[in-house]
Amino acid sequence: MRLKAGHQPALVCRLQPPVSLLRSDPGMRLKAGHQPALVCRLQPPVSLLRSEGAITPTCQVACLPVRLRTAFDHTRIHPPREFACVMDGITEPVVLVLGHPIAGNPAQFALERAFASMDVGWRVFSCDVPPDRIDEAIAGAEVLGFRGLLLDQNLVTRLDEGAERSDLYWRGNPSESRWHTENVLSTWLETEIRKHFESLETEIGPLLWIGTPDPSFPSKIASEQSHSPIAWASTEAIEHARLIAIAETVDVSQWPRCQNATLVVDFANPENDLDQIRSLGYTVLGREQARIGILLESIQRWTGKQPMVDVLNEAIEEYLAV
Amino acid sequence: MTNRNATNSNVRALVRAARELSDSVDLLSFAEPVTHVYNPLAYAWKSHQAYLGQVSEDVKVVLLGMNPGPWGMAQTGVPFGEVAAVRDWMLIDEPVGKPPIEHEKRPVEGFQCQRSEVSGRRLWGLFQERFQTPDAFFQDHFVLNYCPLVFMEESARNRTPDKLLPEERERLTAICDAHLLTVIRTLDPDHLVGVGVYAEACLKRAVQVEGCRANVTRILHPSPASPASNNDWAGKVTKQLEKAGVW
Repeated sequence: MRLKAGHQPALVCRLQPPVSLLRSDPGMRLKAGHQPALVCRLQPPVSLLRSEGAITPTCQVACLPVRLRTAFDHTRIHPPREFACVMDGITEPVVLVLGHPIAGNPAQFALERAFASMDVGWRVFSCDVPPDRIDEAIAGAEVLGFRGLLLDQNLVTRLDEGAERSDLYWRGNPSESRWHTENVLSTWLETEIRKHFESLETEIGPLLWIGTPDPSFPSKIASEQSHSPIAWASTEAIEHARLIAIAETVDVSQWPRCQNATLVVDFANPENDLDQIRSLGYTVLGREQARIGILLESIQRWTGKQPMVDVLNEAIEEYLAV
Repeated sequence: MTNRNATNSNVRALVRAARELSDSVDLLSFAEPVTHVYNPLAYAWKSHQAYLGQVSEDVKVVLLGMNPGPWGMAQTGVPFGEVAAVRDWMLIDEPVGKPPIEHEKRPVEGFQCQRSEVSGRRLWGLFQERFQTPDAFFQDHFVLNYCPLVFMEESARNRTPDKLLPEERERLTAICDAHLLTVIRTLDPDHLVGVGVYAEACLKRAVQVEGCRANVTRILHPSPASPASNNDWAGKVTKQLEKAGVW
């Protein structure tokens, strides 16, 4: 499929059969160059896979009612057919993902998979926005009517007044002119920590911070806190803690074995060796779990529905080839 | 594109070495958490052989990756072999078989695979942009993987060779080192470029054993899982290669 997409709604597509074309369905109208006019209803999202700053000539289209997800490629067209696709009055909800960089960010890919699996017609755009222009981007997205916006964590910076910028923006219903905002990483972390300690039937904590505390971490829920500002904590401190948050690369080989079902949350960049920490008996939440958690919370706020965790997991693993 | 295999001794030597490598690693066994092992040199041999047929008689730069990715070489048999890059740029489109035990979440669909591997798209995209044609690229360059096997856990999660059990890693390393030495002796390049830290370490080990004249260097791995590679990977790598005197 060749896409000459400035932006939506105009797309020029080359379709490789099989494709289900429904002459009577409302929706996407395909006007064929040398073909009779065809009308086909395409189930969003139409996925535009980005390469380094440009849209690659690959597009995935799912056609109703057969729910057939078919991928097209511009080089395998037998016979070639060119269609000009024009949106026909349907405006699907669109959410925006902002990052810096946005290249290599699996959020759009995973969200599209999740929306498709939930059979909702939401679309996703991704843009690279430098941190110093993020306020303009958020305001612009609100004016433009995006249904939601997700900031990559590298854009969740401190605001002038010292508070942390929210990472998620959404509208309760399409007619709302202003967004609701939330730090969903914080929400997700709090939920996971509470779940862990509820299963143990104990109060939350004591909490040990290793490195500079991350503002997304819901420290206040812990009964007791201690803080090691360097990338090290004593064996006694680690053994005493029931909740450990790490913001630095630590030498796990010096850690004692876990005795008390301690939960470890890793914020370090690059990530610590979580397999090694797990092998010592600790329960660990790392970057990958947080990424999934943020997407789950975001989809729930946007659509009011909950996707399957496996769908997100598999999409991210596929995108990152891990 | 030109297939050099009729008269090129490098092609013959690399094909022979790849067959030996494939046969040797097929004899290895791996314990859990590895549950599935793919050997694309076996089930995608035709396209791998076609790829080896592109090597020139005067290779100056050898780039080395770690092992196949599930949507790249595991599908096409070509290192970093994103389907579109292999099929549409290299014009390699050979039938691809199946591994003996296939994971349902990582099906091998060969050139029908609709998934696109970011690492391969970036790597071959850079070469395509710089050299325009495969002939121009393969005149001086060649890309290989250190290990030909793909390892998966029950969940289908990829397990890289460095995460294997020590005794498994040791046996695999012995075989892959021997193959790498054969390739270096055969091609005798000026530059050996590790794509990522792991591959660079393999090259350094090989060069120590061999006493080879080639300069070993490293470029940033193109995987999107590496945060540094998501900000102008092509620009950074071009600078790295220019600084190392490779380009």
